[in-house]
Amino acid sequence: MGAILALHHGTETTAGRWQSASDAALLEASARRIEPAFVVLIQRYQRDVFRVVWRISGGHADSEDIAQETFLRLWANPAQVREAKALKGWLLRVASNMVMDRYRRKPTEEIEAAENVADSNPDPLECTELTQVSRTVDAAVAQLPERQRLALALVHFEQLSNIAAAEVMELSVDALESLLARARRRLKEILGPKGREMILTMEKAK
Amino acid sequence: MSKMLEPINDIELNKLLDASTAPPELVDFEARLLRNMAALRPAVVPHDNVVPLFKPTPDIVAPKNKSRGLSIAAALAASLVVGVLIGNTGDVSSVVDGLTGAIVSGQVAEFAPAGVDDIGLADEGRNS
Repeated sequence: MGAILALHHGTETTAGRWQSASDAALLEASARRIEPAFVVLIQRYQRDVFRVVWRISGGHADSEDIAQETFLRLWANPAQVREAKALKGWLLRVASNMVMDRYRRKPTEEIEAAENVADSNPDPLECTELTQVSRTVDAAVAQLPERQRLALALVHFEQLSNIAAAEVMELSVDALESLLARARRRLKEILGPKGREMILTMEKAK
Repeated sequence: MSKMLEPINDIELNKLLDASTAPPELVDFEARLLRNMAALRPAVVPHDNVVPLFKPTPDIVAPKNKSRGLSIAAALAASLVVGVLIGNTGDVSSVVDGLTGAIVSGQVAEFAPAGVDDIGLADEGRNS
């Protein structure tokens, strides 16, 4: 364990040299098994990958494992990313495919995950009104079909452009926009009049 | 009151989405990943200029067509049976003798190639 920590500490200090390197240089160095270069790639994209996985899995406990697996897949063969500028898109695509694949095999877990997000703390007395709003919105998002949830996560939460999100999802921009429109329409239906109440609650809390 | 019943608009929906729960902060992600990478690392790292040697293994070629093998075996068995039957009856030797006799006695002389007559009959030599 001590050796691992020492290794980690060592890679962290040497990773400093790679901080300003481009993704292309880091990928190329990673392909030559230069670990500190790969560490910088991890530092650069770990939060993006984890957030998307967390959003589309409905906050499942496996989210971090899937993010780990995504980077391990990259480390196994960095050359599989053909264009360095598309690295983030590649990571998000691999991660989201992994989430969908995992829950397609275990559909009950997805439902459980959605329920966990929705009802992990159902006692309203223990929640502030704003927390309750957050939980209601989480539960509504969790009810969306996975592709719509992914489109929403990429465009709304990750602030990707429609073009970039379409590339991640391997769709045309029109198809992505259609998915997004359906997701938003469905969310409005799910939230219904409660949505407006929640808006008022949020305005009061300001 | 009527506004309360209206569905929310896009701007309001965005506000609500922004109010959704934020993902938790990652703790120890990098260190854990490095441990996982170390576990994946192969025991022997191949060098660029080393051509891996493979122990040659004999190619065991299975018969492409099972029926071919079967037909060969059947043909061999059939010829063996025929050979045994013929050997027991002695028909072959009589057939061969008959043919030889016919040729020798000149019954098929007209079919023999030119010059056969000049050699003479086998019996002539034996008789003299």
